[in-house]
Amino acid sequence: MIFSSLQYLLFLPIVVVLFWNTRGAARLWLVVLASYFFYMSWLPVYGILLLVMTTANWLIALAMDRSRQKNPSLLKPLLTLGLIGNLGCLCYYKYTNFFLSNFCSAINWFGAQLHGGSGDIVSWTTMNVMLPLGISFFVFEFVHYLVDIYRGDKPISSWMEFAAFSAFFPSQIAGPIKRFQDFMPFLRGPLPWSSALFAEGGALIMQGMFKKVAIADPIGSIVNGCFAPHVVLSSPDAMVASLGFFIQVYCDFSGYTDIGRGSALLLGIRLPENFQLPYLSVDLADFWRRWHMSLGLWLRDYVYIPLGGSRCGQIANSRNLFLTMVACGLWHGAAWHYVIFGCLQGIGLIVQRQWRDFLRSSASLQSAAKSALGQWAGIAGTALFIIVTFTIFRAPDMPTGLNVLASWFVGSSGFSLWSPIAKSGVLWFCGIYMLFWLLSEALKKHRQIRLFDSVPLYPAAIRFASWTAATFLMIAARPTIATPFVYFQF
Amino acid sequence: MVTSTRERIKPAPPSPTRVPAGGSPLSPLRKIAIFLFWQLIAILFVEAILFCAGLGEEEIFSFDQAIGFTHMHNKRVTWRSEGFAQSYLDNDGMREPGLTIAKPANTYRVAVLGDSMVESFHVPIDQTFGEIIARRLSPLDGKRVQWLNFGTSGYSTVQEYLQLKRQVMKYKPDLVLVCYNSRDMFENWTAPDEVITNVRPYAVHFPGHPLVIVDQPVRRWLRSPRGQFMRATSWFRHHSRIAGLLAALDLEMSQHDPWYRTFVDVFSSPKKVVEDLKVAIAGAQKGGPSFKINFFEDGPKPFQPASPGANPASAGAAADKSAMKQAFVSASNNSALSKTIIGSVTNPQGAGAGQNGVGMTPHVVRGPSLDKTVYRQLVTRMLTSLFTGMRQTCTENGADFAIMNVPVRSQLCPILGCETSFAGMDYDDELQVVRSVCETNKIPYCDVEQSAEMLSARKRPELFYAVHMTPKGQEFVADCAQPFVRDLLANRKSALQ
Repeated sequence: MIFSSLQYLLFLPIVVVLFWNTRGAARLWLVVLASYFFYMSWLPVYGILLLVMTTANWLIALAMDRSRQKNPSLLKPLLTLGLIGNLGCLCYYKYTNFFLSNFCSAINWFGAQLHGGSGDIVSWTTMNVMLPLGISFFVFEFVHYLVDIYRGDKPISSWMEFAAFSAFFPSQIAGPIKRFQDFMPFLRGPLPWSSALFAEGGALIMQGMFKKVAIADPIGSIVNGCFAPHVVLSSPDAMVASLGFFIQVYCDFSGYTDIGRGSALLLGIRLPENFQLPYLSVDLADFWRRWHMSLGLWLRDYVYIPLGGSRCGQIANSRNLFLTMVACGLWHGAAWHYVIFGCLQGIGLIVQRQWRDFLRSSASLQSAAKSALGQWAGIAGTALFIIVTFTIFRAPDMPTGLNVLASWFVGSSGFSLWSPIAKSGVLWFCGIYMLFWLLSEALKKHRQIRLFDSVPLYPAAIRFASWTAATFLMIAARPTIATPFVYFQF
Repeated sequence: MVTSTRERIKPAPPSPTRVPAGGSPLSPLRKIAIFLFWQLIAILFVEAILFCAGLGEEEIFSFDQAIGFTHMHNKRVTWRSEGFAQSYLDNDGMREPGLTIAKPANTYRVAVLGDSMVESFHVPIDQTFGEIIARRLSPLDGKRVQWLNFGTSGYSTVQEYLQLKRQVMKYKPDLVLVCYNSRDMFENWTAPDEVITNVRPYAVHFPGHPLVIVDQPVRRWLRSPRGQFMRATSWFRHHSRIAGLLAALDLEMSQHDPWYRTFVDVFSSPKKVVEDLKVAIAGAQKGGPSFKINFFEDGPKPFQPASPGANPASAGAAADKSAMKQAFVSASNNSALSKTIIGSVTNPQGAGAGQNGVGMTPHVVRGPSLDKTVYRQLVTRMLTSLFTGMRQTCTENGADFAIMNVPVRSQLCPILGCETSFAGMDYDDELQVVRSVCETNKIPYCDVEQSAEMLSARKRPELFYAVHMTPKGQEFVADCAQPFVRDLLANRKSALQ
């Protein structure tokens, strides 16, 4: 069951109706059961994994809290146990084959050196491990929970509440990565049901669906073929492929988050934001504050600051930045191109920090950077860097990513992607989305606006009309097969 | 549609926009009027966008009481699933640009009948195998070869038989080519369900009696709530791009999404859903998957023939009756079979209610697995009648008649999870029946599937999208069928001389 499927459109209203017609324990049971049903609709057996991990973390947190008063020396071992268990699980499911294949390659390389280049000596088959959906997200939530309990927060005493936190279906598969301190007050006392709540939740769901179905999926179906190994691309095709993925990944991931946040709002629960117009960032640090914000904050709190953060020397600070971004890259997937993506982001952040210090050295340079032109130059430069690094991120391996980037400059001049772009109507959908976005911003600022004296702008009527239009446009743009969200693989 | 995610929920301030100029609050009627007004604006906006973007022209079917469904007339079609092509259906539902009913001088006309494999809306018309063959063969003996594509998605042999009599012959073809595709023979008995392309007449042929074609399932379906709704909205389906989109989505989902089918079933025929559920529960209680079996038998309501000649009730001796029971028995674990074959002849919306001269009482028993041999005999008899009937029509109109098959993905390179056999017969089994009918009745037969099977496993997937043929597949069929068509046309010339 994915958010953009018919099943989910049936599932969500049922859960919402039941949610607002139950109270207390029954409501909690409903959230937990619905979340497990949602999760187990993929592969039922992994529901057991989630259940076991939830119970284990809940018990460890309770034990840590108890040991804080009775035997503080046990606190650290318990945290270590929890971290090893959680990260071990993540490593087993996500990185086993990566480590095995690289270890095998390394042994072969050394063996070949010793034997004078006689070829493969070791040949291990990879293990048949299927990545449980959303494991990267819920493991990070467990790690946050244990570390915060270690730091002194009070644990969640009720197993049901903790299970609802860890399995909450709107954020279960691809975030946002929640903090239990923010989530629990909403779970215990949801926002009251109102037309405003329904309007905001519904609008978020429609917006997310539109971004996913009408923009991300059609673009994905056009550019996916460009990222196949050994494809010969013309320069315009290669550039459009990179730009296409840049748009696709934003619309896909932010679309997922919007649907998740909208679904949670219909249950009276506000999930954290994950995106704040990241492609309008003026520099790379700004980008990582606006892109996948919940991951950025997690990395800051549980990797960057524990490593020493910025309160240290310049070299140590650069190291911390670099290691944090390598961890970010590796979190996205078990492949070298993700590691390279992380390295490039780390290097980019270090260089940008140096550049910022350089600008601060001169008042005229600083004022130039803060001028409108400087800001737009910053936005363009950041976007270009992100497009380049996202190309490597998207490609199945490094050579393919480099091939696409090289084709920007050395490819032929044909533009074969134009035909599918024109046929799909995706440019129209992008334009309509921008128009709606600008209109809604304008309406927010000018609530008194009137179209004609006799036709008052009745907001609910306009809202429903825009939903109707969005629904029909999504049907027009629909793919023949529902496409999974890009971030599901992480 | 776009909402700030930064805003906290707070009570909406009293908005002056909710109060009209007069100062009094909006009456419910006015609210509804405003609501409808904006809905209309939204719909017109979407229609305009779809028009500009060239999207939404996806509905192709109009309904017909005898044949089930036909192509719409005077309709632009933009096909986006699998490949991409834009076509225009003329005032007879034909796709060929500039086609006239009157045959031009110095022209060989080849009419090809079939289902979506022939129709090929997903590739431009000039890339369909027929057009490729016509291009390659022209001029033949100083004459231009003109290819007329009568392929219609979902058509069974029965529908092709009716189409031949009703539409094809007026074009005065020199050669009629019927393309057999996988499951065509089963579709001659398929019961109508929520899928529009399953609304078909069916054919039965009992020993010693003429072929009977029953349009009762179609008429029943058209009188059902869903059928009435579809007919009532036919103007919108034809002219509105939104309606076109919804129709295409409905067709896609009713074919592929069991959730959607259940959803539609619950709303359109809740009684049937309850009955199906009862059967399923009864089956589950008895342990293991088993299905109720329906078959024709004299019962409380005996057969009521429309004419003495078309009386299936007097069909054959006891042995035949026994064979028929066997034939209409579903395999013990094959739900698709029981639904499609058995349901077809006894479905309450289908043949079960005898109002069209063929009153057949459904009877329910439990039975053994399908006897493939008996079933094959029944199918062979029916196909023979249909093919020979078509040939007779062609002969009466001065045309030659031939059969060819098309390559099928489920046989050559099946996708994981794709069913490769049906009613215990795979495509090879079906083709054996078709081949034997052609041999027995001396109907020219072209076996494209056999040629496709000689391709390497690596090359086979290149012939197909998910189901239908890619331009490469069309080219392959043209390569295989071209000599066959050329020989038939050449023989015709020599015969006429």
